[in-house]
Amino acid sequence: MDQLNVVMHEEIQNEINTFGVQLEGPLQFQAGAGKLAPKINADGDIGRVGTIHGGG
Amino acid sequence: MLKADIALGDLSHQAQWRDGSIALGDSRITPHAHLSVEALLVRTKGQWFVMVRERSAAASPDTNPATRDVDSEEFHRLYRQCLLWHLDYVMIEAAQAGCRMKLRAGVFGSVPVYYRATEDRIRISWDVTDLATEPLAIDPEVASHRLVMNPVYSARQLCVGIGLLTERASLDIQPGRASYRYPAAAEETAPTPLPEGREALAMFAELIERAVSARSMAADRISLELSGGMDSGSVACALAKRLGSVASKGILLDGHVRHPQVERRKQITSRLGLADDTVEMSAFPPDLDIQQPAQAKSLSREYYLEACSALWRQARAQGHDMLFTGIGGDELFPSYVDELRDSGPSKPTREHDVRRYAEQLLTPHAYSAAQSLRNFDAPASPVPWTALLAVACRAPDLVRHGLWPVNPLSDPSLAAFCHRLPREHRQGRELIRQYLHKHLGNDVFQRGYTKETFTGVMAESISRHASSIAGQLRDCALADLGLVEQPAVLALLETVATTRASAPATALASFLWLERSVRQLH
Repeated sequence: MDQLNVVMHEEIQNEINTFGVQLEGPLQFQAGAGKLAPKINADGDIGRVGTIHGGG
Repeated sequence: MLKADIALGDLSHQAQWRDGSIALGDSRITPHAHLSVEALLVRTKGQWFVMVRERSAAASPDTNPATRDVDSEEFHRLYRQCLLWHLDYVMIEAAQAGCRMKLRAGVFGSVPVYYRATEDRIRISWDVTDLATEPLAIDPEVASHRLVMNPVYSARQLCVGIGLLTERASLDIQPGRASYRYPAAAEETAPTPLPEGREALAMFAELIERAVSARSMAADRISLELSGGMDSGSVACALAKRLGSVASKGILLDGHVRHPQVERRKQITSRLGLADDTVEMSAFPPDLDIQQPAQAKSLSREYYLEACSALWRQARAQGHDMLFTGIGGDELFPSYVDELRDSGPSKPTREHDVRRYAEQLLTPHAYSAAQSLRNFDAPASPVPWTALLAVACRAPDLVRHGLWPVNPLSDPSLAAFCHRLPREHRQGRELIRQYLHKHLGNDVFQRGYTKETFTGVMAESISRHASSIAGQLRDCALADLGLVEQPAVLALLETVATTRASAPATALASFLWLERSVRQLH
């Protein structure tokens, strides 16, 4: 396992994105506000597909 | 390339190396311990990423520990640099706030990346056995396509809940939520004139020799699978040019293909100075026992694993830990649709025959599913997807044997070059033939040479074991799932047993391998 603890090579040979790797940056440092779907935790009647209650 | 078991709540912890793994709380990310693999942990405030990647030939030994603590700007620079690594990789990235992570794969698909994500945990492994630890549902659409021998390269796999991170794809995870993202499709290719003053053979030689030499290696670490065909033959030429004598391994077939195969292998090994070992196919026939509780579970398994394993054990006994193959060679010289049109109406092929036999097994529901166009496949890839599937099928067994797979003919740069060649260089695999002529002489691969083929092996084996297979098929998992008609399976078995023809045997073997996987995983 020792070989995992050293990095043998630092510089990549080619910085061109030849093969279309998705190059967006790292994850955002801060988490989003975490919006909850309004109906997801509500009890109620059986309603439209995709809702917990029928609304109205 | 790695295994990981991560409780998503642990992503709030700082990651650190511990005993060959990266630890975050009680969770672990364990890079595969192999000389061909290296790992790097990069940390900045509130964020980190782990990069596990193939080690480059350009390696210059460095005693720096594989942990970097850097500022945000350097973090971004290293992150981008790692994404553009010129060999294969798997990256796990985490943002501690909100316990979020992202899993990303490189272009080569050299070892599969399977994952299973649940509400608060993700497990990742190249070995599906690690993920199949509980009852799993079978995806009937994927299974139906597999039954008619339509290979599927997609995030969706045979088992619901186990996904494959396909090449360049990414998976975002946070507690209670997972989001998979395919990359953009690779650029379409078309025949293109060669650059002014450049010669196709010289360019091909440069690319194949670069692909062979890209990874950190030494002659005493390498075995080459040498079937005696053009693909592995060309890899042998490129390897011998780079390293001189290396070890070659081959499975010798019986029947009418044996003599030409043996002679051709003799010519190649003597002219390149290879140290050759062989095993007899007849000594390691395919294992047709579909019950096999002791076997490693798999989503797809090499048909001739027993013979291959015998070769791989020889390689390990000689101290080798890298296996070079010719996988990808079949995909290097495609024809374009207008070229096929020029050559007149297509004739019925063996593939049509095989599919016809396979379709006869299906229930109406499965037939309907198999006829439906899929809309969930991975987009076009720089490495042809059939090569990626072949690699994914074999790599877990190779890795279990301690061998790192290297498939130079599945190199994306080589594929891009060959696919754009003018027709005269692609037709009849002309360019690879010229490369072989240059290194081996004109007498080894003459036009119309007798190719080595495994097609007779399966028919013989099934025929010999027909009664025990019939006994094992009294209960049929795929029939229980409503996908095949059991009497039709037994009828196909009878056809193979009486005719020993290769087309029905291929269709039946495909069914048997899927049946075994379903029994193991369901």
